[in-house]
Amino acid sequence: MKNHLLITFIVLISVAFSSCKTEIEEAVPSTGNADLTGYVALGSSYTAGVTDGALYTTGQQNSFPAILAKSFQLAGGGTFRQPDVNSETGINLEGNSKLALYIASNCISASELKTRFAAPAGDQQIFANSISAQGPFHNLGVPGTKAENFRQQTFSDPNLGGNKFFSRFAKNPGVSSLLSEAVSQNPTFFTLLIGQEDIYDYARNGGDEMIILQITSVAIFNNEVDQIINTLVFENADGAIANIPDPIDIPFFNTIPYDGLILTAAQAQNLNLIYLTDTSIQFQEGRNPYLVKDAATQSGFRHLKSDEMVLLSASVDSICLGYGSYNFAISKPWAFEDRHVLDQSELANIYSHLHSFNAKIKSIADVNGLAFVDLFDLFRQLHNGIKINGVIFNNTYLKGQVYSLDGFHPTPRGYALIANHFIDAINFKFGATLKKADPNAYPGIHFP
Amino acid sequence: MHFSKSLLLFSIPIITSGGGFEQRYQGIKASGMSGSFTAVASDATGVFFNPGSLVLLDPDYSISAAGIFAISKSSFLSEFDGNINALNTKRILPQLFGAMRINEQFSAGIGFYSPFSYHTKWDDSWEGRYVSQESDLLIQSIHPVVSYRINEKLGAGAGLIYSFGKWDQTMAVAAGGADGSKQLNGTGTSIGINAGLYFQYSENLQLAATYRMAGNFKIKNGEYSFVSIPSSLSDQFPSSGKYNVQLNLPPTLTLAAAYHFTDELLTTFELNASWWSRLKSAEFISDEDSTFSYTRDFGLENSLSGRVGIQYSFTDEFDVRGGFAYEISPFNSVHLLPEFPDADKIIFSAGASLDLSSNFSADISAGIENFFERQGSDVSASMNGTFKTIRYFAGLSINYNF
Repeated sequence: MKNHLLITFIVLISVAFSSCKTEIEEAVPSTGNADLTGYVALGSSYTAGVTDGALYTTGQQNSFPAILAKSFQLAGGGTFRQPDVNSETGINLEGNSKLALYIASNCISASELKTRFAAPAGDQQIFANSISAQGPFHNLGVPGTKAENFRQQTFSDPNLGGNKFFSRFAKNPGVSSLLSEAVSQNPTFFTLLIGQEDIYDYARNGGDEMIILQITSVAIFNNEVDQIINTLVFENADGAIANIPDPIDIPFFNTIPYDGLILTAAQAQNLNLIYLTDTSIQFQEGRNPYLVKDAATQSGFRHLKSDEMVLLSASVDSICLGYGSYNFAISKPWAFEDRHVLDQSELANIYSHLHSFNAKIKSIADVNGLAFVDLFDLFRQLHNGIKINGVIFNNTYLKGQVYSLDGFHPTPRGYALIANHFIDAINFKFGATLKKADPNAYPGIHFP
Repeated sequence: MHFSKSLLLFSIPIITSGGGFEQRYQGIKASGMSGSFTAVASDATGVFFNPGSLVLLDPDYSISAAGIFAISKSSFLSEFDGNINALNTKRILPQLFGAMRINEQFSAGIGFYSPFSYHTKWDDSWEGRYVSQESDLLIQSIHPVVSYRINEKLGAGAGLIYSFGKWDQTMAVAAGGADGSKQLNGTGTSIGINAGLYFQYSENLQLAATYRMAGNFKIKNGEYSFVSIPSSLSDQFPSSGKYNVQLNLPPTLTLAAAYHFTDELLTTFELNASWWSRLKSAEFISDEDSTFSYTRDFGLENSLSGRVGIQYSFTDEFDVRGGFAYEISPFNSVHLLPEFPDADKIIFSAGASLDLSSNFSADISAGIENFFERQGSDVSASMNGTFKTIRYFAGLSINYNF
């Protein structure tokens, strides 16, 4: 009896202690039906990793293709090389450096956060030498790439109107195209962001004012997409293609409200006296639409309409002076320039192209069995915010953490969200179980 | 685990309880039997287990001084990173129990012990840092009781439970892309009661029923502070201030039986039902600065635990014992909080007693609390993953009876 009890006792205790590890068994990520050993990324500034208005090392290292490649590598993916700019100052196509955030005193001596260039000029050293010998490069994202540039040989030679970000790593400037660089690597998998630059180069510059900047026609866009995808699919590559987000979901377009002019009764009365001659301009106590220059009206000014957008590039300091409608310092009316506003016809132009492009992207994904990455939907979700491990990400300028100081390009945290959206789409389409990135582990905006 | 099916027997849908951040380490004899001790009248720990039993103790005076050492380990696996191990947290929980006979009819007793305790510490930079880096909850009770002999077979008792303790927390705050830190340090008190009936049905069978409620643990004027916040964001984070928060501790009803198969062999059984649903959330409220105020959702549900104990007397001087318990977690799978990585758990324990002299005896116990691996989320923080926790404990008590 006693012995039996003792034995039972010892058995029970050893059972209890046999499972004394807290380690949790982890599923090994798999690539499913996709072959991720040879990944190339094609696209424009988002693909390159532009952050804070320029391409610089921290942004580039955390480009969404770089984050994606890390996840691929956990599942057996191959090496992924980027054309490193090797500069924290960075540069953009205009030659400027990245932006920095600082505390400024505005015209009523209140402190506010503003951006300025982090350096007097961009780091020209980035464009000084070709690094093509260090290639091949798997991230072929080049800031400024529009649909018709992907197959253009001249795009690799700035002397022929090409792009400096491409020529610095192109194998054979003047001969190489982005697509030929991709094909030469025998890619097994590609990501393509196309059409964004076509729309947003126009939108970020305020639309029609610069006649030279027109949105790529739907016919050209469709043809380019067909040519690029047919070429890559012919090479037996699987891939993922992303659509284009709505400007309403991007801080560059949604931060300054059309009716952000808040007046006292006395201020409204003053302004009404100044604009006495134009009865279409009326101010009242409370919220008022800003004014925009419009040659077609009697006074040369008009109120903004509720469905028009003010761009983040509009000078907010001028709003501060003179109630945003009158410059008392020089006794002249004041209003936004047309290039800082997207009016109804410009927006109609943007949206008709956006919806056509996105329809094409969806159909080419379906026809060719590509993973379809709905960035339009991701950016829309960010309108309400996405919470991850207690942190809310949304499309509020600066504090939302998704968009960098330029209000248009993501922060590394934002790129991690985009990479995760690609991973969701790839997992879904190819039956893969790729691991996602923790956005909170990536750099965001550092406040002073 | 294959245990779970057979254990369903224990969770017959009465209301059950235990689990959560309640700790059943009171008494070293009891902890050697996984807490299945409510129907045993053998020492002063009856203050906690069943005040009705004290009046039926043999010695006139009975004192027990004890300590429990417990160590917890937790791991977390998310969709992002590999296994993340929490830092091992260790506790030493002192206990003191005393009982004395006043006359034939009355006995009195007093206890000091820790009924609620949970300490979790994750690496400061782990992915759940914005939810919790460290949470240290410890509630201790001072608990006087009186015990009354109704007749030869029946004892009844009741007591007043005064509890005091602390709940300290640290978590990161996302101050833009940089991490600031939020620290909460609060002490609080609560008043509760317990009552119990102890029934000597026969020579071999004892039955018991108890009710215990520790009350509402109120932290008043706890201190919070935010540190390492960039100056341009200081308007969003009050630098420091006071807060109040209340944890409604669960009342527990226990039904228990003890049966002597032989003079040497004692078996005990009990069921505990705990009304954890009284604790749906903790509301951290600052009267001075409402930007601080927030609610931490617990979403607790009532829970049950079942316990079985066995004791064998090798000689009059030497007993060995063992126990098994199954505790259902009051946390549901959408309230899997990293500061309380709780799950249903099984507890195995063993212990022994040795009489050192006619007055002195010593008890030892050791056990393992094995929490089931559990996948779920903390919905309010949008944190998803799998937790696994194991806790070990060992205890020693010195008892003096005369």
